[in-house]
Amino acid sequence: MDYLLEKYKNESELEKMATREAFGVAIVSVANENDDVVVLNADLPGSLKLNDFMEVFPERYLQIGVAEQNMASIAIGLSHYGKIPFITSFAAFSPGLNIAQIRIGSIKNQNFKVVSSHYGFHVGPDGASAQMESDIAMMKAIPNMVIVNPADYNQTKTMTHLISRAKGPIYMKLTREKFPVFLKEDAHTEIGKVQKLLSGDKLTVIATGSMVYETLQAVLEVDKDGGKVELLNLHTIKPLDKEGILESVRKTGKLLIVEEHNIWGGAGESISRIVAENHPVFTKIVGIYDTFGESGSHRKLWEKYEIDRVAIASQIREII
Amino acid sequence: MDYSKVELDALRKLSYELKIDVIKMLDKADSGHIGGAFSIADIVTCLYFKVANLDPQNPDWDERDYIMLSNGHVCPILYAALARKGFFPKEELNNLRKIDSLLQGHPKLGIPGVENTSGLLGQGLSQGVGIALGLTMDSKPNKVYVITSDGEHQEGQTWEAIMSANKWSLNNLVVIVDRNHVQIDGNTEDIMPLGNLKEKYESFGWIALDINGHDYNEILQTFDFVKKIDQPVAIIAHTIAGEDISFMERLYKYHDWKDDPVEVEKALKELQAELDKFN
Repeated sequence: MDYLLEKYKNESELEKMATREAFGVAIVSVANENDDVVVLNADLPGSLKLNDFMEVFPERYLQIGVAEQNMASIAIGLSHYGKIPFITSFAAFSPGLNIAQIRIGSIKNQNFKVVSSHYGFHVGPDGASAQMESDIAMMKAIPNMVIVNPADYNQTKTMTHLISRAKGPIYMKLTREKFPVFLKEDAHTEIGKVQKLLSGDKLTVIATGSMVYETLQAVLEVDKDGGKVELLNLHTIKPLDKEGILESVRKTGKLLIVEEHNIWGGAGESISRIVAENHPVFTKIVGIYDTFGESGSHRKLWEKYEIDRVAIASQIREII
Repeated sequence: MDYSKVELDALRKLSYELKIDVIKMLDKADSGHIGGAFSIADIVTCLYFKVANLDPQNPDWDERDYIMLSNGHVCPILYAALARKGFFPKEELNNLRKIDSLLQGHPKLGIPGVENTSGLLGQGLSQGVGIALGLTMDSKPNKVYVITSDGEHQEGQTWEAIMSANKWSLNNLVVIVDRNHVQIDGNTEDIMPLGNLKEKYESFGWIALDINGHDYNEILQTFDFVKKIDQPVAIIAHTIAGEDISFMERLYKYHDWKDDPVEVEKALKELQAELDKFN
């Protein structure tokens, strides 16, 4: 399957968009398709790009104020009544402040969506408290929870539609920063299935969300002629695509996972478990090494905490 | 309008039967929360058997009123009422808190008649606001009754919910506060003072009413009255923890009860004596 836009290698030619912008566009069309969709927000509609939704569907937009716990439990009530609520905020606040409420709604697999932007180092200058390095750990440990982390603007639009149709609690992560749009608008995306962006036989690299294009550039830098590194886009962190991952590591025999999350509790740990249980291979994780961030641009933070393309390329070089 | 003695006595008699069911359930389960189950028993009886529009044969009926239990630990009285109302067979009461059984130690969606998963205090009123908002969006007349404990008003989220119900003027939402003054580790005013809840609700824009939570005529008249109010309403029901069991009344140590055979026998005897007065 060919997922990449033709000019994907040339970063300067690609349009730069934040995935939260895609959510803002897609949620309007999702709501047009389904009358039951409602959006809740905790005093950050601009940050979630909800301006269009608020204008088109004022009666289906609920401004809850700075009260993320109330927002989550109201959503669970709405879901019990029969609506499809999307709760929206920064990842630091939701699920950061309302994990207990989300957990209660997940016990009976209630149909609500948690959509959060500004994960990882994305809120850069605001500093450690508003950044979010722990959200996957919190959410993946909740039974029934599905976690999606789309890689670019186009994929986020598709994913917004997919999660609105899928039943049950789903967490979708969005970027604050603008990143290259490199996936085809009509690329086939299925929750729970990895996408093979590049083929190779020496090393499997699995990247998720904001790290996918950064990793792609690192791979292009190291594997100039191609064919050595296989790059998988992990747009779904839970459930993991066990077969898709194992098929690749059986071929390559080595694995590198790249994520903008604490290595404690991130996607890397869960992938490592699947690999260790079924086909143990050398595995390494590039992620945030159990530290909080600090103020600074997200690019500078990526560099300092060694999750940028330079750090990723150096790991790839070392492994192959 | 005053309710007739016949009508009130029928409900009172039923409440003793439900309380007897609760004692027997907790005896079989070896433990459970009894203080709050008995303080709210009269209101539960009125809600399920007189006030709310329900269809036990069709728990998901679109036209039903929603009765939610935010302080889920008092669920034995809820389960006793649901069973007697016909939501599930009464035999299920024998398996409360046991593995592979329907009736969980705290209410969970999926149990017929249960409208919210609870057990973490402070979340039920927000969930009730969610249901009330959904009904309002669709211009539906159903009512939402949320039972809360006084102790869970120590949770900040309860006040977030109270604030938001006022924002949307949810006239389909009624909260009942079981003001029994006890919680697991002591008396509420010693643990963390709650003060005058009526005034607090009023200052958040609600209509709030102080009532005697064991006076059936007052309870029923209050529920009639709130149906006419175009605002969210809080009924502060002043109640007695462990009501009707002489050795339990008002004592916080019976919030959670590890039953013993002597107490079980004594409690059943006292309740039976009350019940016999109706024969």
